[in-house]
Amino acid sequence: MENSENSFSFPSIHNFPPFYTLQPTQTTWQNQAALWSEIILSYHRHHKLYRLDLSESLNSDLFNLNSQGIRRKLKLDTLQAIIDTMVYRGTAEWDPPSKKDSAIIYWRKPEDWANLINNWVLETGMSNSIVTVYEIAHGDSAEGFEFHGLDQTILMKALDILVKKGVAQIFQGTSTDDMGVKFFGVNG
Amino acid sequence: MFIKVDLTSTLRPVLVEGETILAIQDNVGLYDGNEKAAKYMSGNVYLTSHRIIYVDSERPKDNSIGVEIRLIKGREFYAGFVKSSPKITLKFSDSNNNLSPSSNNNPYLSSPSASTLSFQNTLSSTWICTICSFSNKSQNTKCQLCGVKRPENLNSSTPPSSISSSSGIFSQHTTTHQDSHDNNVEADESDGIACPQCTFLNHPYMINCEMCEAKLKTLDIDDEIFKEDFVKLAFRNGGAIAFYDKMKQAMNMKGWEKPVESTKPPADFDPVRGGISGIMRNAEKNKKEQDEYLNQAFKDMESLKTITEEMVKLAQSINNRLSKESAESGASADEITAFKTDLFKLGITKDEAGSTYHQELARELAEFLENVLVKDDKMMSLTDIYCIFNKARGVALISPSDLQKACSLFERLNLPFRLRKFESGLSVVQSVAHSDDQIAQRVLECIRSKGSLSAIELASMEQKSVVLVNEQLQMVEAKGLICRDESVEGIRYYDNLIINYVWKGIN
Repeated sequence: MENSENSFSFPSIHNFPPFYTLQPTQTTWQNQAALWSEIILSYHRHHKLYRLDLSESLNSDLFNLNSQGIRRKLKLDTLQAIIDTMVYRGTAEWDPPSKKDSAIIYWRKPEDWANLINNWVLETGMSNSIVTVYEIAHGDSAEGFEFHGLDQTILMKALDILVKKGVAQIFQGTSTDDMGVKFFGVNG
Repeated sequence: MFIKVDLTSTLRPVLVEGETILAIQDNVGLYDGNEKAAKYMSGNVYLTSHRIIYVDSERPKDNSIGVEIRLIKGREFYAGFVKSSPKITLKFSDSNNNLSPSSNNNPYLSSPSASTLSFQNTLSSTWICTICSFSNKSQNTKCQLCGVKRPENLNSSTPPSSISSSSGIFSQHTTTHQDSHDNNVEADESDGIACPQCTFLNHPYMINCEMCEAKLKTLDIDDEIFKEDFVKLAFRNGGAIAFYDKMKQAMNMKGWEKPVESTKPPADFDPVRGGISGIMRNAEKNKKEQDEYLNQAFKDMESLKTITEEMVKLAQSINNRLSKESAESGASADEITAFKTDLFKLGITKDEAGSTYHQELARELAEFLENVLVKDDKMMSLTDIYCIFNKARGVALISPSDLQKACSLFERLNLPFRLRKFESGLSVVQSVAHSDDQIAQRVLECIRSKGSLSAIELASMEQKSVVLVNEQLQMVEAKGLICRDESVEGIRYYDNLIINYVWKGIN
C-alpha cells in the first residue's frame, strides 16, 4: 500500500526509546500523550485512515521503533491511555464505546466534515436534490474531494449535524447506503 | 566551681583527652543551695571520668555548665519523698575548711612538680588590698597595712603572683571562673594589661588603671554561677541511684589523675638496643604486653569492660598487620585514616546512658555522620549506616531498632540530619543541608554524558547502593528531568526529551 514517496515521515521523537514507555511522571506523560495523538492524527490524515484497530495497528510502523538495533513497541494499555486522552479532547471516539479495541480517529471533526459536504453540495449545485449517502462517500462527483472515501460512521455523524442545523434532511432507505439526503442549499 | 562548658555541634559536651562518659541522665534540675536555680531547671547531666556536666535542654549554648569532680568535697544522697524528686548534693567545701576557693585548687592541674605546688599554695593564700595593694594572707579579714576590710568580691585567686614568669600558672590558677571573659588580658600579661577604658598599659599586678582608675579586671565573685557552696541535682526522671553509684565510682577512681595517654614519639635510637636483637627484644616485649592484656581481659567480664579500649586497639593492630599484606581495599587511604580517628570516640552504651540512650546515640551518630556524609549529596541508606557505624564502634554494637529510634530523634534534638523514608520503604539518613536539586543536577549530568543509564550503571558510577540510586532516579524523574524506557532489558533512564518536544505536524 505504501511506497517511498507516500510514506509518512515521523518526527524525531518517534525514534526516542522512552517515547514507547508510559511515563509515570504526570507532566511528562501529558506531553507524551499529546505528541502521540498528534502523530496518530497526522498519520491517519496522511494515509486517509479513519479507524484505528488497536491490536492490529500495534504491529504497524506507527507504533514500532526499529532503528539502529533498537526495537520498541508501544504497549496496548499505553495506546489505550493515549486514545483515552484523544477521546477526552474530542479527536477520537471509541467504537463501539464499550470496548477499547477500536477507535474512530477524527483528524477532522464531524462538524468540519459537515461543512465540507455542505460546501460541496453548494458548489456542485445539488441543492434541493436528493443524493444517496453512497454517492457522497463514493460517488463520481465527490471524487477528488477530501471526504471521498469517508468512513460511514463519521459521514453519518456529519450528516446528523447538518440535519440538526436544518440544512439537510435524511430519507430512510433500505440500507444505510440507500439513504437519501436532501440538501436545502443553505449555508451552514 | 561551675564553669561554662563547650558543646559540640550536636550539643554534647566536648570531652578532654582521656575523659570518658560514665553516665547520662535526662530531666535533671540544679539547685543553688536549697533554692532552685532558675536558669538550670531541666537538662541532661553527664557524668564523665573528670566532670559532672549539665547541658540545659532549653538553651544549651548558654546555660551549660560543668564542674570538675576533683572539686567536689562531699556528696549526699536524698532518696526523694512523695512529690520531692531524688537529689544528689554536691558539696564544694569541707566542713573543717574555710570558704577559700583556693583550697579547692587541687595541685594536679597546674603543677608538674612539688616545688611549683608549694609555690602555688603560697600564691593562692594571699589577697591584695584594693586600697593599698598590699598582699595580705588569706586568713586576714582586714588589710595588714591600712586596716581596710577585705572586700567580699575579692577572693584570693586574684592576681597575686610576684613572679612574672609564672603567667602559665597564673592563667590556670584563675581558670575556675575567669577564662571565659578574660582571655585577652591574660595574653597581654607579659607586657602589661591594657586598660579597657583608656588603653593605658598597666603593670600586670595593677588592679585599677593607673591613669583613669578604671577596673582592669572584673573579678566579681558574682560570676560564680552558684552562690551557695553546695549544689543539688534533682533527678525528676529517676536514675538518681545509678547516677550516685557511678559518681562514687568516678570519685574513687580519680580518672583525672591518670596520665593522659599520648602518642609517644619513637624513642631515640639506642645503639645497644639497635640491630636485629633490638627488634627481636621489642617484638618480644610487645608480645608479652599483649598476652597480659588478653589474660586480664578474659579473667572476668567486669575487667573486660574496663580495658575494652585496649582490646579494640589490639584487635585493630592485628587487623592492620593482616591488611598490610593484602593491601587491596576499596576505600581510599584518606578515608581509612579519617575513619580510624573517629573510631575510638564512639561507644555510648545503654549502661551509661540509661533512659537517654537513644538521644545520646542520636547525637553520637550525628557527630559520626558529619564525617561520613561529607561527600556529594549527603544521603545514605539506613542499612549502610548501620554497617559503617557498628564497624566504627567496634565494641558495644547497636541493634538496628536502636539505630532507627536514634535516627528518628534527629529532628527533635535539632541535629543536622533527618531520617527520610521513601515510598518504596527505603529509609535513608540525609543531611538537612542536602538538596534534591543538587542530586537532580548531578544525576542529569551523568545521564546526559552517557545518553542513557540504568540504575545499576549509575550506582557503580557513583559508588552508591542501587536502592538509593533508584530512589534518587525516581525523585529526578518525578521532577520531569528524566524519563524512563522500559524494555526487556530493564529500565533505562534518558534525558527528558519528551516534555519539551514540540512537533508542528505534517499537513
